[in-house]
Amino acid sequence: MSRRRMAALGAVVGLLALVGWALWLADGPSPTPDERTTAIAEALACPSCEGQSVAHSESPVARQMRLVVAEQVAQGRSDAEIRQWFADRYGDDVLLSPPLRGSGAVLWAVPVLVLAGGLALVRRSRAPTKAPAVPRPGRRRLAVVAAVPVVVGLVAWTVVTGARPSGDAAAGQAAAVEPAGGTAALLAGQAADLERRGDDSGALEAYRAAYRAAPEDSSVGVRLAFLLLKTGHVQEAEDLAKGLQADSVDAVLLLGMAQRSRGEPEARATLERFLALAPSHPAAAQVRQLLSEGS
Amino acid sequence: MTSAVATGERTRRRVVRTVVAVVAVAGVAALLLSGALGGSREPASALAGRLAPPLAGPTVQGGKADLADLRGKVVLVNVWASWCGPCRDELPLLARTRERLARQGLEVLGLDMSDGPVAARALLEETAATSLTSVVDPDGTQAVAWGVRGVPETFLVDRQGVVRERRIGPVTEEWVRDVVEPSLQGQQ
Repeated sequence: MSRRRMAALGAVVGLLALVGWALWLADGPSPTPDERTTAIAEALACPSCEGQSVAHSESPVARQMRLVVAEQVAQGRSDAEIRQWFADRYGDDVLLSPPLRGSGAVLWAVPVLVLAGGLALVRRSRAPTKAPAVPRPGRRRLAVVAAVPVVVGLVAWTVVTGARPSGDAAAGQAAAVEPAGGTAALLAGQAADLERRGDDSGALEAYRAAYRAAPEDSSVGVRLAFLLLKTGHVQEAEDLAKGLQADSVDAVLLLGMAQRSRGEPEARATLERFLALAPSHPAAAQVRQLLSEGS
Repeated sequence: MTSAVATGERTRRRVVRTVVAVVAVAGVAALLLSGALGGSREPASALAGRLAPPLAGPTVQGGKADLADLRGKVVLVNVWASWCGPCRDELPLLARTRERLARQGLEVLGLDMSDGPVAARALLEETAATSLTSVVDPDGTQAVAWGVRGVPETFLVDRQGVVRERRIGPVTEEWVRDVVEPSLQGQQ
């Protein structure tokens, strides 16, 4: 008797512990703006690429969306406001972890309801029955009853929160795509402003400074290289593109375009590699046209 | 007495079973339904029926433009870039369409995304589309405010400033005939 009660109690305590754990995770130390930008971008789906988040995609639209997230974080908007802003423009499908409504709410409700069902079963098994008591199967059933809410609770929590890595792991992952430090991010922002105003030479200097401050930030490298190409600094653009991570489609595109500008024979192979890597890239059609003109 | 207790127990068991079954079925149905609805949702329609986001700033030609100043006209907001092949094909059609339908209240406002003014101006000249005004958006953030996924994309904004249509990919003669021209029939 007391063992059954303890099993039921164990299930309740397990569930409460899970909820407490989730709350504790949600209430950690307040993140820096860069960390917030990364976390929000990780929970947004890149709309022009399959199965990648905005934080981890190198597509132009994802890069633009990261800039907007950073701008809105700097403006002091809340995570929920920023997510809603994107959902208003790209539809709810842009939200990778669903808001706590619809399926999310169902998933949270499931463990509670299963627990209620489990307790009802426990009460039923305690009631007198005509057949003589068979203790062993009963105990097994109790173990199952106690385990189910815990398992369902874990699954629900994992699905609802998206089970994103938190803390150092996420920060390390983000360093490859997000501005690494405040200075670099600031300089990159200034560069984008200057570029928007048509001040290419000012923007070039700011991008160079941003890239020097955070050479591991491939997104700044890509922007700098595109601007170098645009302003006729072909050799420098090519050198930079070679130094950027080899799996970045933008780096491959840059390298191919730089090689083409210089009339190098490898240009075709590089641009074909770009097309193979990113056949639906916004620049893909243009590149195909260039290649067909060249042949 | 014993049979009364047994009957009560059976009833309770039935109730519990029914509740558990209903909850399970409802839960599964809700999950499947939300999944199915999510899959069939048309992402292109997120802005449709709502006021157009702001679109203003320096233009490729060195002036200034603001979508808000065009209220009362039907505006095609065309997102393009000099590095985009299909944009090259549609720019002449957009320029011709604007010229042909201007008197009926059509305007075209470009959004030159992630591009440089020199290359952009060169393309406009090359495609005989210098009459088109385009706001520059070198970092693409204005395009994101419009929910743009790639280039080219074109939005039809009605005379009240509400987004009515969205075209992903190059604009065609058919789209102009079937979508743009009927939208000009409203009050001028």
